[in-house]
Parts: sequence; C-alpha cells; structure tokens
Amino acid sequence: MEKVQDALAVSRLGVAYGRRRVVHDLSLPPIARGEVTALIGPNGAGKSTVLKALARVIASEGELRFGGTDLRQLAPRRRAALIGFMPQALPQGTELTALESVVIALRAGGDADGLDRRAVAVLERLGIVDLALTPLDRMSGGERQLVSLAQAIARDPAMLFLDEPTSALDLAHVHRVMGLVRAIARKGAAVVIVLHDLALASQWADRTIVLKSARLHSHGAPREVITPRMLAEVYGFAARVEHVGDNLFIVPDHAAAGAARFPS
Amino acid sequence: MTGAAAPADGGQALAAYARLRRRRLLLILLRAAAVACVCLRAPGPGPAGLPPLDALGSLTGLSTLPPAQEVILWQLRLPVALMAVLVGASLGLAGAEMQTVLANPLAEPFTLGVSNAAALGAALAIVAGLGASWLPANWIVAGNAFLFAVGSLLLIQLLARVSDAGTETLVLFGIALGFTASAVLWLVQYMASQDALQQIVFWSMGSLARADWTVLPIAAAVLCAVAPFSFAAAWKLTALRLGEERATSFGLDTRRLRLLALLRASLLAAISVAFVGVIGFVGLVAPHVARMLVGEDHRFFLPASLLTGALIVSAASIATKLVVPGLMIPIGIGTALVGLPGFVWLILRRHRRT
Repeated sequence: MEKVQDALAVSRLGVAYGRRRVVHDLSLPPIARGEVTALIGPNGAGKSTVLKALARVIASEGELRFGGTDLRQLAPRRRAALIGFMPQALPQGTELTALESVVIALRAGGDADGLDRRAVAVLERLGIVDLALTPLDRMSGGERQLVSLAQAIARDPAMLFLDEPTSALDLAHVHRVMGLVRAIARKGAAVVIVLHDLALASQWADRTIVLKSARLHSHGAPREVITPRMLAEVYGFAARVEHVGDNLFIVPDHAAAGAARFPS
Repeated sequence: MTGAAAPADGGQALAAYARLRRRRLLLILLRAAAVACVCLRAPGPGPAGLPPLDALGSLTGLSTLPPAQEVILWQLRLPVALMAVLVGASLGLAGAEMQTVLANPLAEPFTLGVSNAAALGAALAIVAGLGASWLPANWIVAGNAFLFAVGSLLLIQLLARVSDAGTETLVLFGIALGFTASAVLWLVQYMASQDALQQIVFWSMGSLARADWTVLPIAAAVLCAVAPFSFAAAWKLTALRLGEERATSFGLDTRRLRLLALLRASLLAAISVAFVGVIGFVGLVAPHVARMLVGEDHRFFLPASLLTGALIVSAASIATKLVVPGLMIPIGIGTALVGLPGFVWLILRRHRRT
C-alpha cells in the first residue's frame, strides 16, 4: 500500500490534439518508484502521446498524482524539478554545444549554483565528456541521443520519462544507457521508457505496460506480458517467445510472417 | 566553434568552456569597439565634404569646425550616424529573437510581414495626404507605418491563437500577410500621383536622412526599454533552441515566451521602419553572423546580433555615401550590397569547415 502511495497514479487520462481526441479515459497501473516501467505497443498505439501527457509536456485530462501530489495543479517550475523528459525528436540545426545544452537544462529549471561543474559531471556519467564543446549540429544521431538523455537526467528527477532513448545507439551504448537508467530507478526514481525492442524491455524493465490503440491491453512483469498471444493480439505478429536465462528471444513463425509480408 | 582537441576529462572540459566564454566575450567587445569606430567615422563623408579628421575632432571635443560645418555635422550627419546604429541594433535584435522563437533561420521582420505592412501604412498616409496643423506630415507617415506594423503582428497572433497553430503556420501566416500587404502597396503605387509615388518609392527603399534629434530619442528609448527584457529572457530563449517539448519539460511557458519575444521584435522593427523606411536583410543576416561568431548561448548571441546589426547598417550608411560621390544611395540598397558578399563568404567558410 505504501508503495502505491509513493507511485505515479494515472487514471482517466485523456488527450486531444485540437479537436482530435487521441487518448480517452486511459487508466494505468501504479508506476512505482525504484522501478523501470517499459511502455510498449505497435506504431500508432499512443505510447509517445501518453508519455508526453505523463511528463506534462502536453495538456491532458484526468488524474495524475505522484506521492499524493496532483501534478496537474503543481506550478510548472516545481513540476519540472520532479520530472525529467527525453523526447523522441532530437534538436536540429543548433549550434549549442553538449555542455551548454546540459547547463541550460539545469539553469532553465531554476538551478543556479555550480552549473558548469554539475553539467560536466552529467556528461562524465554518460561517458561523453569528449563531446562537451561539440555543437549538437555536428554530432551523429547516437551522440545527440546521449546528450539528450544527459539533459533529461541532469537534475536527478524523481520521475524520468524517456521516449525511445536507445533507437540510434550501438550495442555497447544501449547497454550502458539501460544500465544507467536502471541505476537511476534503483536510487528511487520512477522511470517510464518507451521501447520498440521487446528483448530490451524484457532484459531491463521491471514492469511492462502494453498499449493498443491508446488503450491498456495488459501489464505486469515482462515475462508474463510478452507472450505469443500478446504479440498476435497487439502486433498481429505470429511468433514464439523463448527465454534463455534473463534474455528473451522472439522467433517469428516464418510461414505466418511470410504470409503477412507478401499477401497474395 | 571549438577549434581545439576534444577534452579528455572533466577538468579539461571546464577549462575549455571557460576559454570559449572568454573568447566570445572578447568578440562581443571587439564588435562594440568596431561599431563605435564606424559610428565616429560615419559623419565625415558626404556632399559637404567634412574632412574626416576634423569631423572626428569636433565630435570628440578636441577641435572645432567652422560654424556652418558644425551645424552640418551636429544637426545632419551625427543624427544619421546614430540612427544607423540604433536601427541596425534594433533590427539585429529583432531578427535574433524572431529566428529563435519561430525556430526558423529565415525569420526576420519581413518574414512575418511586419515590414511590408509598415510600408503599406506609410504609403497610405502619403497618398491620402494626411496631415494636421499640430503634427508634421512625416510624423503621420511614421505613425501610420507603426500602427500597421503592430496591427499586422496582432492579426497574426490572433490567427495563430484561433487556429491553435504552431510556429511553421505562424510563419506561413506572416508570409501570406506580407504578400497581401505588398500587393495592396503596388495597387496604391499604381494609383498614386507622380509626387506621391516618388515619396513612396523613396520611403520603401529606406532613408536615414529622415533622422533628426526629435526622432532619435524615441528610437533610443524603445531599444533601451526592450533590450533588457530580451537579455533577461536569454536563458529561456536558449532553452527553446533545444526544442519546444524539451523547453516545456523545463517548466517554461513556451507560448508566452514566444508571444512576448514577437511583441518585442515587432516593436523594434516597427519603430525602425516607421522612422527610416524599409531596410531589409539586416534582421536576417545579423543573427546568422552572430551565431557563427559566438554560437547560440543567447547571453552572447543576443548582444552579438544587436551589435552586428548596428555594424552592418553603419558600414552601409558610409558605403552609400562613398559609392557614387555626391549621391546618397538609399540605405536599404546599401545594406544588401554591403551585407550580402560578407554573408555569402561566411556561409561558404562554414560549409568548408563542416
């Protein structure tokens, strides 16, 4: 019960873009502190929209409480101190350097002391201090993604929302980033991460929430949730799910997958 | 902008960042010195042929000129030189803020149709021959230009609010409004009398010759009133360069930030256009040059853009007097001719470097 009190509680969430309602009356299981929660689902399931609504980057209806505090009533600055958000889109065409971007993440949030030193420390945590003075515009997609993550975690937020943070990273960086994300959670943050890679979700997430057409399909531990039945129902994809130690492998049913790819 | 090897550890990164900031500050101070030099040099050239050194001596109080030349220097030339600085600074700052809040490197007062609307306002006042016994005609022309400029901005903001549009739509509204204002301006020119047409054409090319000691304090006051608010918003504006969603996640009200920045930019542009006519190019180029010099940390970028604008218009005002002896070419033509080659060179240099 105490854990639920301490968690992010989401009920009757509604989001509209203009007159188009994209999320309606969505309630989620409690998102606990100290855990990594993976938000999964097919393209267009509403994962990014729900993540933005939880991070309060877009307006939403419904209840959003964290440790008993109504996030919708909180002043923007106080809310920003609690929340770290990494959008899927990376900044384009900016001459800002990695270090400057992290300094701004600290400063714009209201912090004022030791900004440079703290920003450098964040870059060191991610192993990208060599990029400190490189403009974002001259970085690879993967490097920019790491800098974007640095901005999100700069203020040690109590809630961290990451939208596909590893989509442009190589294997080694994926594991480094996911290890860091888990460490942040273990220190007491509630982490929600949108992932397309279900094997990664299974390996690193404590809980999984599956969305289909902006509705809750299922939730629970990754092993319980990522099943052939869920893959068929949510993704329309026929496959076996095999577990080897902590790792999960999705093996497509070739006959069914082939038929799906090349319909007659 | 780094120019040096990548830092190997945190200590090196901090030291390199401190060096980078010092270099940017130095570049801004050098730019300010350049503006001061050009401004002091600007009153010299002209049809009355004031010897540059004598003019400089009179300005600095070290010597005096014959009475007639003193009048030319202090009543005609100096206001023009100072107006060049003020207008350039205003347009440079306006362009920088607009490019940031609209996330568009092509944004400037022209992009949102502010300049075209002001030109239309002036033309209508000229053609209608508006005047009053208590107010000179050129003040009415300037006032009408200002009203149209501010009105165009309010109209765009209203359209954006009603349609819940993003920055791209805002720019498109601006472009559409600019074309509409231009079309109506052509219609006014087509129907205008010979005299009025001449005035309108002269006005739309921009002229610093309208500057005098009555309008200078107004332009200065507006710049001095607006610039501190721009500089105070430097952190927030820099955050906006990381993207709208990111800035919102920092707790910033991006809509309010954008509205206030556009109001400031439009006020600066409207005052400039109202007093000296349409001067294009400066609002577009000055921010680009500043960005290449000092990056996009707005604590450096905004003052650098302001000073670059002042430098371009001041240099152009000298060039317009020197190109054809005895003839003062309109400043709007001068800024384009002076600014363009330097701008192309900077872009080519940047592409080679990347």
